[in-house]
Amino acid sequence: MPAWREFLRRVGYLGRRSRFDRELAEEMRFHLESRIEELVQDGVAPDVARQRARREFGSPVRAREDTRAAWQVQWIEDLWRDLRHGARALARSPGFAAVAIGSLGIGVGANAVMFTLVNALLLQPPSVPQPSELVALVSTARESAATPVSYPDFAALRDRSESFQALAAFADVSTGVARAGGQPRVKSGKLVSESFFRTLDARPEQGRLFSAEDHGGNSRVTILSQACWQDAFGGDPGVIGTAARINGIAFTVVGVMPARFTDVDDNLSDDSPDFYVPLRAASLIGPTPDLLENRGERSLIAFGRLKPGVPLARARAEVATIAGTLEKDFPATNRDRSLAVRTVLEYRSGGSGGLAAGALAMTLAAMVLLVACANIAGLLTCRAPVRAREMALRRAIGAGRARLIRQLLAESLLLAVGGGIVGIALGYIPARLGRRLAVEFDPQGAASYPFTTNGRVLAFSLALALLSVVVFGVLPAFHATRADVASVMSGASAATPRRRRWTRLVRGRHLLVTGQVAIAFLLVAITSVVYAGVYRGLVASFRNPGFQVDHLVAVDFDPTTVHFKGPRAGRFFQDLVGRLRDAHEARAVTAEYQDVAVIRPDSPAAREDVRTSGVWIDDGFFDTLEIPIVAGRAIRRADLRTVPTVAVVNDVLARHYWPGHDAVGQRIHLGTGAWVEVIGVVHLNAFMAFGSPPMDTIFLPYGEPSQRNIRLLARSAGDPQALVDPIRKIVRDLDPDQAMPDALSWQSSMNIFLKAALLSLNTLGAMGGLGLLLALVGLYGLIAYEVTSRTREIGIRMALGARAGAVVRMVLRQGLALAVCGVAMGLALTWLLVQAAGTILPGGGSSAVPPEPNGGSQITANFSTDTFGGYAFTLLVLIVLAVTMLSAYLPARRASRVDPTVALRAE
Amino acid sequence: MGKTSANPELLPGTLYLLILRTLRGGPLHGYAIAKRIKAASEDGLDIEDGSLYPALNRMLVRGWLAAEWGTSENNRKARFYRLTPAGRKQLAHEADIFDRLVLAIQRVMRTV
Repeated sequence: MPAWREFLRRVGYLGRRSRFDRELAEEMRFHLESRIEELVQDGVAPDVARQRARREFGSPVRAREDTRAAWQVQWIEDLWRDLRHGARALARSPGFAAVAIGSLGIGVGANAVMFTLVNALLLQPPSVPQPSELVALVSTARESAATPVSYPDFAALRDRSESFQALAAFADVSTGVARAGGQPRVKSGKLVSESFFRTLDARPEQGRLFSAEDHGGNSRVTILSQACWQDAFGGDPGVIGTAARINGIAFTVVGVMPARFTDVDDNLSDDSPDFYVPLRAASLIGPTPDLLENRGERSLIAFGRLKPGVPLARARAEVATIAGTLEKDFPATNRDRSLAVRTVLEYRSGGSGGLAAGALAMTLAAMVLLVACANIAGLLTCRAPVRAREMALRRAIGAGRARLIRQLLAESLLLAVGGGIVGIALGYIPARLGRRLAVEFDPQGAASYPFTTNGRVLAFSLALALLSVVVFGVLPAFHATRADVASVMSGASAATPRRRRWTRLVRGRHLLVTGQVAIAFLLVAITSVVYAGVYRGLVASFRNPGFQVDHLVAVDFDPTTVHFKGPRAGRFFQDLVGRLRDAHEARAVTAEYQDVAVIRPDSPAAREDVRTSGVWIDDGFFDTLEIPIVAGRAIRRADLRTVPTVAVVNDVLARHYWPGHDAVGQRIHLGTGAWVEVIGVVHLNAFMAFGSPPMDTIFLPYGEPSQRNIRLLARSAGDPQALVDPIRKIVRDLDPDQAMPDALSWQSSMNIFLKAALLSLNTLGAMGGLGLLLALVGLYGLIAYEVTSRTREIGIRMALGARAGAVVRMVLRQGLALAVCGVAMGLALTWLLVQAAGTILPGGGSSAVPPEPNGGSQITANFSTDTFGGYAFTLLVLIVLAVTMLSAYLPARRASRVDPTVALRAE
Repeated sequence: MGKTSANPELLPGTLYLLILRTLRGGPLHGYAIAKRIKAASEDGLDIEDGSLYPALNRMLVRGWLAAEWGTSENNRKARFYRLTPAGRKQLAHEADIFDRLVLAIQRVMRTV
């Protein structure tokens, strides 16, 4: 402890050394003058007194030096001096410094952006105490991705396992919350198991947590978040014990959590819902009333804390054993199913190919960095002869090799820090823009926006910058310190060994630049393919989704936000649509929901049941969205029955199953067992699946309400936003306990989605563009360097009668050779990658998978392999060749202007 | 100090002990410390006044002393040094070591 305190005191001295010197001088002056004064008072003559005082004091210079030395730490002093010297050296060649720091900055910036994403989605542990103890528990099936677990299975694990300190489970709900007599507002909440807060190691700020009785009995209790307490309860200090109406049911508030408390979401990342209720309340407000009893209802996110010292493998084995018993005991629900322990990283990356996507993203970024590092290596190579001279000179006058290496390290450190800072700043831009969009979408969204430039991102970026500089800058520079004085000092008229070395360096640089062009080409190819594909698909389908988008308002009712359940919910929406139509403020109104429909059309093309995109609609659907009916008729009011008898299909489905025939009148067998008759065909590529290829879609009459999001769509005559208040009023009239979800005009919400999609696309595009730019800088630098070092040769050629044009051609030929080699290598690399991607990435080609209903905004990127070889690719080759030639042309032109007389006198 | 090398040199490290001991009575500025040491030893030690300051600063670095600016008895700005708790501990420690050292040397001198 005293050691680091002492160190801190010394560091403190570094910051105020000039003041320190001043004070010491003053102190010593005081000492001398006091002594003189005293002697004079004793009767000594002033002159003699002064002399005597000086003699007694000894050398003030030595005293000052020794005092300073008391504070100084030698290596800090040395580092300080090295850094200052390094800064001066960089300032002497600002061009080198700017290109090196800029290149490194771009490379690090690309990685910072990607790392921000990967960190937020995969790596960043949740902000709970001892996050390393947290594991997730999932239900696995033989041939599908892991799913959440059911409550009975969870309870069995909790009761029988011995590897965990605590196990917790929760389900998300989203429903109207109000204080007694207030207007309900949609709030997010969690149904939590008994040990939820204990597993998170959380304490309430006011009141208490749930007790065992709360979980066991029928007491209706809730705990509020700080934000919800402030927002919905006005920060009422007497809130504990009062009633909160959740989904229209009175719950007693027993606790309020602290402002900084966060729990975990279904990705085990930080989450901050508005309220908590015991799992038992699922029968009142949850999406699944039988959650606690139904072993087949797998919708609980489960996690736990391992006991200290229990190895993961033992926990895994124990959980698997328990799952095996469950499979035997409950074959009806658990056949071929098991339970598994996943670490946070395994859990987050599992199933969705998250790890592969993250690795791909980081690979792209790493390629940019590689191109950037090649630039730095190139720059250092061309400085090498100059540096070798300097180093040799300094060794000749007595500097040790270690001293020189330390000097080089200091310079590299400066470059790395400079590049790191530029990179962090660049990486901050997209994160910041994304945050702005999140706020635009939801003013409260800023708090939960995950993509922030936090300490981990900063540390990662700086470490990356340092590593790059060490690998590409320092190691080569070590060689420079080996140079012996005699050969270097013997001057520029190079001896043979040096000539050979020079050639080797230049050859190395040629290889470097070829590689740069190749990687840059690959980058541009990947990013432009993705960009073009996604842009075309997304933007086109957002702007023209197959229906009229103007004057449209959409209100999404998440099933848990709907106050009424079962048939009453169905009637609520019928009434809502009816009242809105009667109010005549909207031109047309409809309600619909999307789900996967299992169908088998009566067609030779259908061999088995197929999962298809399904839309359940009422009689106003096609009118409201103005989807053109190309054959037959729309669904009428009379068709709305619990068991559907008719269906409308899109032209994609019609062509798929009945090519060349009229689809109207054909029959389709539904997975539910009913037969429906096709009564109409509409022209629509896909419904609410943005960026996806055309997709079979079936429209069925809206019978029973579902567990899916129900979307109310209304078309206005004037400003669509003006419809929101009438809708809100009707909702309130119909059911005062029903909270109104956010309503946005179709176009404004689509604009936000588009902006978000374009932000990520532009970030990707920028990476490709910057990668190319870096390669061009490298190429330009190499050619320019060669032109400079061949000035004498060019001068002789011109003196012997070579024309300017011939010189330009000579230099350009060299640039072209490099560019062609690079592009050829790039093409080969791209081809290899596309082959690999075709096997890794699903969804390439035309297999249209129906979207999992997720509220309507399905965004799929299509990396289609057939882009390769298209004319777009030829264009890309030409563009890359053209810009590389341009960067070779500039130095070539300079070469052609060499004045022979000047050039020959140059050395 | 006219009598130069007639006086013994300080044993290494003893200057710290002397300073610590001098400051036990309360804060003093550098000149006063020098004066006290000289007066107490009756000018029997050969210390250059200047060497006091490196020693004081080494002790500041180690945290035995703290320093702050104040006003001297002749109404001038001066830097006052005082013992920290760590300094008191160090004084006890060094005094103990010194006593044992002197005792040991004396024993040797008497017996041999």
